[in-house]
Amino acid sequence: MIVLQILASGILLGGIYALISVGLNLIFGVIKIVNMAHGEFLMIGMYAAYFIYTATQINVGLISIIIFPLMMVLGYIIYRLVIKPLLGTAETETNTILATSGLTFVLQNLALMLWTADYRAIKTPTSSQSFSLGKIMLSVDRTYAFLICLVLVIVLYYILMRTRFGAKVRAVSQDKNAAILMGINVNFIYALTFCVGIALVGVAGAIITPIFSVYPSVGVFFGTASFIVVVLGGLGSFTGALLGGLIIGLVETAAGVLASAELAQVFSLLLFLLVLFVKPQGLLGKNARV
Amino acid sequence: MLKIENLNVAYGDTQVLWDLSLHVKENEIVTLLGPNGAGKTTLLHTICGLVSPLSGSIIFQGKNLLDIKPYHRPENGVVLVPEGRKLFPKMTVQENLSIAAGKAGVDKDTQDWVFELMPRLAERRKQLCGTLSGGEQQMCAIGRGIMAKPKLLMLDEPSLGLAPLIVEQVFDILTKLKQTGITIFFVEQFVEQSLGISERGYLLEDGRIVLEEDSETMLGNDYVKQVYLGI
Repeated sequence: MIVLQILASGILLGGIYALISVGLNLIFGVIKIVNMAHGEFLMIGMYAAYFIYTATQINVGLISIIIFPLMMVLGYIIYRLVIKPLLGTAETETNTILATSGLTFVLQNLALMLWTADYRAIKTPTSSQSFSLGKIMLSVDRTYAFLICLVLVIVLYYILMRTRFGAKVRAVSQDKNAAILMGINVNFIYALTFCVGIALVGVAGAIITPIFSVYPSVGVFFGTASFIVVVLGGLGSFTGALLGGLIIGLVETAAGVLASAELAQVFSLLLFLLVLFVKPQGLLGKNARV
Repeated sequence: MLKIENLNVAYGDTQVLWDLSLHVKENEIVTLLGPNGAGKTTLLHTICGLVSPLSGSIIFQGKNLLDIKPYHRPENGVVLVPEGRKLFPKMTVQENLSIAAGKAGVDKDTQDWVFELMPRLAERRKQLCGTLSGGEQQMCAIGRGIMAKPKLLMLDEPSLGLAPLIVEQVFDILTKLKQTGITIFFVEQFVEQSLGISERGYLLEDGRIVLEEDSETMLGNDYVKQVYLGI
């Protein structure tokens, strides 16, 4: 029984981790840059959802529909100011890591200045409610968040794999120069991918606001988690990020139940190290350079 | 059709092409010969816009190509089949062909013709390009080029790494392309075979055009014979 319960809760958490990480992996896979400030965009999405919810009491699912385009605009501003000037320079990879690390501090301290260090949480009508599925108990808010994540991931997968636009994105990710030769506007694909990646993590932030409190450095925790998920599954691999998310979700839930909640992350980090020893390119990664 | 004048190209401080001028007429096959490092690939990359020149002009059908963004050049009729194929390895043959088709979408007639010309591609259309053999990959790269409906198709060493029999097939396809009205400008190291299907040839050495002749005269040229044919 407890195994089933862990499986169910773990999958719910894993789906959320997957959505949080998928934007990071998309940006890395297509533009080949590591966005160190990934978690901070999640934090901004969480604050946005917190303020909109406190003002309007609209359901977070609906709020995320507003947050998606807002985060895309923010993504575009950051892309133009921080990322674009560094693309095509001699050390693009290193430069973007440094620049986005700097961005981490700017965004965290900006949040601290604007919204103080207080922990804030929203209370939805369904907070702390759960429902039973057979003998398993599931939290309503977590299930709801999981379902939204599932829909978003499926939509993203469909766009990438089945549409002409998605084919262009994959082409750019596989060979930038060949994509130019095929008449693809690579700069446009880069900008759009960055915006969508940021919007996805922003929406992920909005969706988890009923579950986790928001504070200026909340991005550090989730940012680290996304890096673990992405590297575990395989850098640049879409299905890898999903698999990584599920594994980390399951391990943390199992550790939380069987050992203690404080140790949950220790176990996922141990597993992460183990995978890196055995298969440094990640579970589904090929030829990825770290 | 294509007229290049006084083209100078450099990577940083290293100049690769020096005052290069050449032209390709409508419905010709023209070969660019030359040793490794002569600047052949750089020239093709400059025509496509992957590299920007220091000075000089590239006129294609009366338009200044340098004013056209690199990714708009294929729809203007200038298409390159790059060295080493550069297919998208994790996409299927069909996806590779479709992606080249441009805004108008896949043209059924063009695609049927590609499959008729290279039946092997039709058999493998659902297969990932990374898993094709070298010859099949080259066919796919040429097919992808054709899907873009080029007026001028450029190929960078299409015979690279292929078995002699396949090389013959590739050259055969080029002749057929010419018959449908596509102009071809290609870079090769197989001097005899490539001049065999071309009207004219250029010889590029150290970034300068050192010889420009029609194919037969070029094959009879003492210098070419000595250095490139080993006779």
